[in-house]
Amino acid sequence: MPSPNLTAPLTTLAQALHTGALTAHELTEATLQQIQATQPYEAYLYVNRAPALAWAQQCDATRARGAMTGCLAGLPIALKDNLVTQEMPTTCGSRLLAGYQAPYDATVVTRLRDAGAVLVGKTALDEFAMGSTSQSCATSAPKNPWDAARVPGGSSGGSAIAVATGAAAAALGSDTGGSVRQPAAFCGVVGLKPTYGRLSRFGLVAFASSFDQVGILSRYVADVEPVLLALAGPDPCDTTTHAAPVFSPSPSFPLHLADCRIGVLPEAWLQGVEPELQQTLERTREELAAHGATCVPVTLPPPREALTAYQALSAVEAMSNLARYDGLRYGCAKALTQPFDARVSQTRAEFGNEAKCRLLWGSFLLTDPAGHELLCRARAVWRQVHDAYRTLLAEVTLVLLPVTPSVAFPRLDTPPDTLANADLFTVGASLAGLPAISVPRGLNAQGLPLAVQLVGRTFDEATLLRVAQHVEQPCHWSERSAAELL
Amino acid sequence: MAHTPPTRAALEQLLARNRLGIDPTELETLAQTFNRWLADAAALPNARGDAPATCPLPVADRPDLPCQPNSRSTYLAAAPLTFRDWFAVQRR
Repeated sequence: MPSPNLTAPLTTLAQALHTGALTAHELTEATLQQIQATQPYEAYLYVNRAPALAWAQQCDATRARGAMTGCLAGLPIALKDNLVTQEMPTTCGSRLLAGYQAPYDATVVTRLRDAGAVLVGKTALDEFAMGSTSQSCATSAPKNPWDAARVPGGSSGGSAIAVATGAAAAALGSDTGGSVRQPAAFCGVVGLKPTYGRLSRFGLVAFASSFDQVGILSRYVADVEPVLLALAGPDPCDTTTHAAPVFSPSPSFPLHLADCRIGVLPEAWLQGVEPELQQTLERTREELAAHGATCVPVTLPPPREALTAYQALSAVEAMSNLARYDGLRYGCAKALTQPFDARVSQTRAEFGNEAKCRLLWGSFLLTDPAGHELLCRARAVWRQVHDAYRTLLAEVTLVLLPVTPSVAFPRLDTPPDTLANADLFTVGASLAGLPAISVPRGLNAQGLPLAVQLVGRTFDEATLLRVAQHVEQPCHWSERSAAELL
Repeated sequence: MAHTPPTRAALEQLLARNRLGIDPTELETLAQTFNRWLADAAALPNARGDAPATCPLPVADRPDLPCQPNSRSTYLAAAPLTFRDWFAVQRR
């Protein structure tokens, strides 16, 4: 039996499993070998080898009996290490949670299992999902598979690397201010942040609860659909999930681009975007127009204000959410004999500097009178951005904008401004709770992935994915020469 | 209200209050990031407004649930209390 093509579309792999051309065990074994082969990129924090193979065998046995299998049966899927699992440890990339084993599975994990997916491991992330580079992970230094001297983006960097390199057929991440879309753009894969409330957050370790959302990373736009269908729907354990009609699969949803109005932002709004990414955006607009879409000039509140507001609001929520890491409820219990204050200090010393900085900023905003005034301003901007997107999306079907101002930047000696602007164009959809997708658009002259972002209407992931399919230009990492690999 | 960056001593005090120990050599980097965020926030328009609701759609169809966390402003208002109360309870 020839080794399976691990970079084939999810639907092709599913078809091969269905016809018997490939077994789940073969696919899982090949994926585990690919995880090993791509280990230098440090995508995974934990590999679930034995249970994954056992689950794959079970899928094969079910299929051999002719019994019903789930829509993702036998497909190897990776999880960001801030989704809790009973079977695997959950560390959130932090020393503070080293060896933590959750007593339950996140709802999205349960739903993946119900659909038959093989969970191959947990992927690297910025500590507690706070960051845009994945370099604040305490136990790993993930590298961009297109250029190992560059960041893979973050915080779902490990999931993006795993999908790009064929070390998973698809992966779950979490997107608070762009943590799925930005690494997807840097690694040349598709990254969907669904509408806030579309997927359950139960079992997703909280960073900023008002914006946290589980996201999906895959190599092709069409691969997002089966995963989204398997995960979507209300969950009694998360009151913010909604019983909106579940996303319709493609055959029943024809979309003519001639019916679409695409919002395009002016050059002034895109100030600071690298010229080649501006050109990518322009080419995308031209292609959509050539397919019959109507492109209309629109505007939104300045992205700088949205980013600043997001930084304040997310820090404040992180301050509250991370209070549970006190060495008593969560965190290492090294000093149980010490007084409570000493124990808390000792536990919280394990936070990395990125997390400490955000907690400090959140604390200042909540406790200092000057900080409180700034927080009020941030809330006003939040409302302004939220309302502006809603008003705009009553007029247009979706908005076309960049994912990031630059392509993947170097891991070392990155200018502070580049780091600070990484989420400049992704936080808008997060503040508005809207679905947004990062779509690959080929490679630049240096061989680094280019991408564009589409933001759609509430709970209208269907239209977003249809339009994304028209503009995607997949990046084929496996076609790189051996000399380029680590 | 003026938004002058906190002094190094004030930052150290804030760190101590939150039981966030930091390597003294890292304090300078932390202060730079903190001050950049402060400057950015101070440049926001001086306006006030309620935060939007957490859920894009109302969740009134879930009367079986004990709480409906669909108000972001309520959540944010409660957040600092959660943290402060925790320590207050522990000190008693």
